[in-house]
Amino acid sequence: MDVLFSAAGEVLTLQNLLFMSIAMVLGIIAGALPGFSATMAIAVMVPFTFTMSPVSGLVTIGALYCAAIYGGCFSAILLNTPGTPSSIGTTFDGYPMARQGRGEEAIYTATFASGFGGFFGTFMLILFALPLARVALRFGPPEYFWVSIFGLTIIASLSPQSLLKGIAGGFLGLMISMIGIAPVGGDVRFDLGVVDFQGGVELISILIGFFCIPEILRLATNPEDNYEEVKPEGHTDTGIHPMKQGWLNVIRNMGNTVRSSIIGAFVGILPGAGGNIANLVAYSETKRVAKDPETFGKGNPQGIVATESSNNAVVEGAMVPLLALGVPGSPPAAIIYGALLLQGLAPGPELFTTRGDITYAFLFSFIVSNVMIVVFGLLVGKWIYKAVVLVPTRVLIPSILLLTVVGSFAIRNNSMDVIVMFLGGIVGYVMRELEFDPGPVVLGLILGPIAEKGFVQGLIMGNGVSADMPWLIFFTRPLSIVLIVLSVLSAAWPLIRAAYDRHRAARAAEGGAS
Amino acid sequence: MKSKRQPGTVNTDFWGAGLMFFFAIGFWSQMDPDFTRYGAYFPNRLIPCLFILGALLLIKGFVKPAYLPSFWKAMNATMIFTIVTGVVWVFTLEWLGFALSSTLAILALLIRFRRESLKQPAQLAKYLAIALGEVGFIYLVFEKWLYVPLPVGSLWS
Repeated sequence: MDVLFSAAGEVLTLQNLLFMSIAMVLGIIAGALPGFSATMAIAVMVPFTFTMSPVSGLVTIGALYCAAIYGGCFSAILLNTPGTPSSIGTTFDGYPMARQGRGEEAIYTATFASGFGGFFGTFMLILFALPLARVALRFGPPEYFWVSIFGLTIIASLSPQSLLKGIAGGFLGLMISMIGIAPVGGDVRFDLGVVDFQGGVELISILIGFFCIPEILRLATNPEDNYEEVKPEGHTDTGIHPMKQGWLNVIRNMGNTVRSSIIGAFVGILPGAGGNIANLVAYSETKRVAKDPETFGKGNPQGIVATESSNNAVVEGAMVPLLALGVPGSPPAAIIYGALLLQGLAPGPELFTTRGDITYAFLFSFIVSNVMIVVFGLLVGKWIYKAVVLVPTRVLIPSILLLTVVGSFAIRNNSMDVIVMFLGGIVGYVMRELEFDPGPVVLGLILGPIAEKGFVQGLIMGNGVSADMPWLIFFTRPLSIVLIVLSVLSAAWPLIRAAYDRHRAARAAEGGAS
Repeated sequence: MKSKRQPGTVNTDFWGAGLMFFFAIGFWSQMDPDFTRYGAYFPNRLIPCLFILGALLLIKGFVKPAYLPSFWKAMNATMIFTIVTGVVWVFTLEWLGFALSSTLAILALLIRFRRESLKQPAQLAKYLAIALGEVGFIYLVFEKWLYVPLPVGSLWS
């Protein structure tokens, strides 16, 4: 406890709070800009922290990371464009809410959920960093393969209109993820002879294309069709102020908030996984246990609570293997690893003992960052929403297109990514009109490299154990068995739920008859 | 979604099957016999799955078809103009440069969305100011503050 109080003293100086505030504003802007990822924001910020003291530098980077992930919700809610891959799921219900004139409520819900998820992740980090990191390190290629299979089982909830088309979309995403250099073997595959494709198809370009371009094209059919008017005096349909409603959306469904935060923190701990997976898994689980799953995708705030609390918990989760074991499990964590080294700190178990003062100050700064997210979100959310809503659609369309062009270019400074984004968007529009949801395609694209690498490396490992049956390794490791059971349960859940509903209906009918 | 064919609708399962076959054939034609065992392992298993899923959609299209309004009928002139402008924009980005291609594309879209502005010089000037302002702001943020080099345009270099 003394360590934490001392850490609080280190963090809560006027200078650090000022640095964190600046990082917060820049992070929110970076997160809200489609294509400008949290990784890029941190990479740009790191050189500015060289001259700062270790604590100041690290708390500034930590605040920027949290804010960038949170900032993604603004474009997801207002423009149907995930600002970062971590807010893909936020578009599902956030954008419908904005179109219904409930964008302010959606932003406040995202703000409170992000703050809560961040808090939860920080406590997990402070309390369980070392044991959790050891569990994560027991994940080998077979386990990663099963994690990706588990991830693919959520296709059913991402494709409510047609399961068959959802599965087909998921497989298509898996295939698209194989464009470029193979993760094992090093073959250049499916590049059509285009040099730019050798590095693979950029996820962000496809994300922007599949989510944003179809919506722009739909808006373009009638550029005079503006957002629904903001409710008078900012009130919601229920007469409750959107800020209060946003708070209630998070607090009244604490089960959803906590469950999604746990998912986020755990996925964040796994090296290679991140917010892009966590938010979709949390969304799927929330929809799965909801009493009104049919309202998801049409403006149910619980969808936002799930995605935003999980993706912010990922931030702290990603710090677990980094700080406890010196294993950077995600690109932003890798840059923070570099920043730690530059400050003379070697990440690993000794970090908590030899430089406990700085380490705990860094951990404590996440609590402060999440408070700041809530404060900044409440201050600016309303104005950002009103600014977007007041812009006529005919001006909004070219403005969003400009963001999509610059966003998809900025990731790799590659014009081919912009072409892929726009042509992918046209394909996405046609697919959406044919009832192919973009969610499963993007899920396949995210999970493809993890699945392939896990599968092929697992087979190589299995060869070492049994040359005749190398695949046996996927079914014999304890963690793999747990993941197989979870995957089977997840895939069979719609059937289990239908049977349960039938049973309940039958019992209710019996009760009514007697 | 309707299960009976009505005028102006398409069988989305047939179209979906066609799309799956198109992608499956596309990927299959790119399979190289020189791929290593490890590089070919996953695609060799997934491409047949794409064919099977296409076949299942085809069967569903016969057995339990889903009909939706034709997507090309929803495409009006404004939308087609947006698509064409977008395509020209992204393909000329490297050639004309970010600033010029973006300004021209935004201006074209703004004018197309309110065609009467062509007869109103003040409105045209306003749209030009919007286009220049937006492109200038984005240029400033990305090029100057975030150090992301935007395309200058091969035409000018």
